[in-house]
Amino acid sequence: MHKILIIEDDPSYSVLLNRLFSEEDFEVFTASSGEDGLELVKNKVPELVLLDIRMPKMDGKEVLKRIRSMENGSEIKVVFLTNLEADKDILEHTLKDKNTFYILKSDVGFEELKGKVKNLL
Amino acid sequence: MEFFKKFVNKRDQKLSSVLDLQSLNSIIFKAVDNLPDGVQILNFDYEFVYVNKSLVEQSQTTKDKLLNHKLVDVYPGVEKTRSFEIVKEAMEKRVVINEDVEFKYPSGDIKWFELRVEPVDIGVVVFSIDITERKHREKILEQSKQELEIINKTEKKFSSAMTKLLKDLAKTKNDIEVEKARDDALLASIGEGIFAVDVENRFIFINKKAEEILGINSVDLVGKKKTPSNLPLEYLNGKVVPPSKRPTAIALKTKKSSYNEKYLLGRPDGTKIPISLTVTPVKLDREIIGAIDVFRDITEEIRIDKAKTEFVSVASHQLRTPLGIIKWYVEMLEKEEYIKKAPPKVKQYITEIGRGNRRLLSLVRDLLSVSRIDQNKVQNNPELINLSKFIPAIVENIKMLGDERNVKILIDIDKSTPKIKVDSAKLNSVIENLLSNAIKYSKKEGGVVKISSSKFGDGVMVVVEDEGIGIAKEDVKDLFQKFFRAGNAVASNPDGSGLGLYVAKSYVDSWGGEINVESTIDKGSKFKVYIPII
Repeated sequence: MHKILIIEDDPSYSVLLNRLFSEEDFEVFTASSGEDGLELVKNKVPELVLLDIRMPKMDGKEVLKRIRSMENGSEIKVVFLTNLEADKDILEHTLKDKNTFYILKSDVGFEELKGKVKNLL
Repeated sequence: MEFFKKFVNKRDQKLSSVLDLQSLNSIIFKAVDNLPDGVQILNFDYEFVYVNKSLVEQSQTTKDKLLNHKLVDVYPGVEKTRSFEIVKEAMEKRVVINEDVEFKYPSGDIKWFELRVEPVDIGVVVFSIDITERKHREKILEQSKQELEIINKTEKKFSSAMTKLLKDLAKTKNDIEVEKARDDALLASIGEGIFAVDVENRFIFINKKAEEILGINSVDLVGKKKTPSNLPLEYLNGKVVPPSKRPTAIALKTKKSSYNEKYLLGRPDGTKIPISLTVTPVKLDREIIGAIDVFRDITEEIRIDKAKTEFVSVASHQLRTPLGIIKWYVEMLEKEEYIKKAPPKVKQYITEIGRGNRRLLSLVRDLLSVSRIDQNKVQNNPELINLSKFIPAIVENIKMLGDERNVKILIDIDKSTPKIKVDSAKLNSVIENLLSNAIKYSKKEGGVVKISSSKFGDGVMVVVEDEGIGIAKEDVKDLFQKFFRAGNAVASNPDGSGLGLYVAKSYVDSWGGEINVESTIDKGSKFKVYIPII
C-alpha cells in the first residue's frame, strides 16, 4: 500500500483528494498547513506528497525546500497542485528537480490525476 | 374741266358766289395742285382722271403714266390691297372713308398713308397724306414703350432678385459667422485635444484642450515651424517612438488614418501622460494638405482598466478552486455503480452539471489568459517545435469534437515547413482555438476543415480553412477584440466567450507574427497565422 500525503489548506480539496485516493487503496494522510505537513513527512515518510502552493504562513514552495533539505527528503516525489499554470517559480522547480512535478487542478480529470500519481510510484 | 367745276361748286358754294367762277377755278386748281396732300380723282372705271403734284410724288411714277390709266395697270396687284378695298367701298357704297393704310409699291417700298376717300359724281376723290414718317416714329415710340415695359419688368425682376440675393448674402454671411462661432466654441470646449498640421507637418492650429494636455501654449507652436515630431513620444512600454514611426508624419506620408493608438506623451515639466491618439490626413482633391490629430488623456482609463484586470484575475483564481472540485465530484459520481444503474434522468442531470462545469472552467481559463495578457504577464517559454508532429497531435485531441459535428479534419503539412521556436502551450492554444472554432462554426450538415502549413518568408504560415457559416464583412474588423462575438456565431454556438481569438492574436503578436482572416458569409472562413522564426 502506497503512502501519500496531502498538504492542502482548502478543506474541500483535501477531503476530496482523501476520498479519491483512499478508494484506490492508498494510505492517505492529510495536513491543512505547511507546518503540519512537514511534521507528517518526518513521521510517516510518504512516498509522494500532493502539495498546494498557495497557503497562508508557509507556502508550498517553502514546504518543498524544507522537504528537500531533510534526510532522504530528495527521494520523495512532490506534485504541486495548482490553479496557476503560469507560475514561473514552479516551472523552474519542476525543471531542476527530477522528483518535482505539477498538476493543474482544474485541467485534469480525477482519473488522469490518479493515473499520474500511480505512474510516479 | 366740267367735273372739276362741279366738284369745286360742291365743295365751296360760298366762295363761288363771291368770286368770278373762272378765276376762282384757276385759284382752286392751283391750290389743289400745290396741296401738300396727294389728291387724285378716279372715275368709275378706276382710271386716274386727276392727280396733283403731291400725288405724283407719292405715286413713284410720272403724271403721264397715271392719267387716263387704270389703277390696276399702274399698280398691278393693287386690287388685293386694303387701299383698293377702301376706294372700292367708297365708290360702290358712295360713302366717305377715312383710314390709315400701308401701301406697297412695285419697287418694294412700303409707305403709310392717311386716306380719305369721298365719292364724287364721276367716281371718287382720294386725299392721301404720307404718314410713313409719323408711323415710323409711332412704331419707334411703340417699340420704345414696349422696350421700356420690358425694361421695367426686367428691372422689377432684377431688383427683386437683387434684394433676394442681398438677403441671401446677409443670411449666408450670418450662417458662416454662426457656423464659425459654433465651430470655434466646439473646438475650444471639446474634451479632446485637437491640433492640425500642414503638409510640411507644421502646427497650424491647436485647441485649448490640446494646449492643456501637451502643456505647451499654442503661440509657442503655431507659426514657429514647430512640428509634432518635436514632441517627446513613447510607446506605453517606455520605448521612444522612432522618427519613422511618428504617427502624424506617417499619416502625411501614407495618407492613411490611425485610430486610438496609445502612447506616452512627454511634457515640458518632465511628466509623462498616456494618450490615445487618432490621426486623420486631410485631403483636397486627393492631394494631402495636412493632418488632424485628435487625442485624449487616458490616465484614468488605464488606472480603471488595470483595476478591472486585477479584479478579473483574482476573481478567476477564486472561481477555479470550487469549479475544479465540482469537476472531480461529477467525475466521481459518474463512476459510481449506483449512478450507472440510476434512471436516465439522473444520469442526464449529472451530464448537464458536468457540461456547465466544463464551460465555466474554460471561460475562467480564458479570462485568466486575458488578464495575464492585459497585465503584460504573458510568459513565453520558447522551445523548438516540429509542426509535422505538433499539428497532428492537436488534431487527434480535437477529433472527438469534429466527429460530434460530422466535420472531417484534413492535415496538409508541406515539406517546406521549418521548425519554429515558440511557447508550445501557447501555440497549442492558438491552433486548438482556430480548429475548434472551425468545427464549432461549421454548418449543421458538417463539412471539411483543413489545416495546412508551409514556409512563408522568414517563417511559417499555418492556415485553418473551413466550410462553415462564415463571418459578416462588418464583423471581421472586430473579430479579434476582447469579448466580441459575431451575430451569426452567437446564434450558432451560444456557449462561446468571445475571448479565444483575442487570446490567439495576443500570443501571435507576442511572437512578432500576424493573424488574419478571409471570410465569406455562408461559404466559410480562412484563418492565416504567420509565425516568424526567431
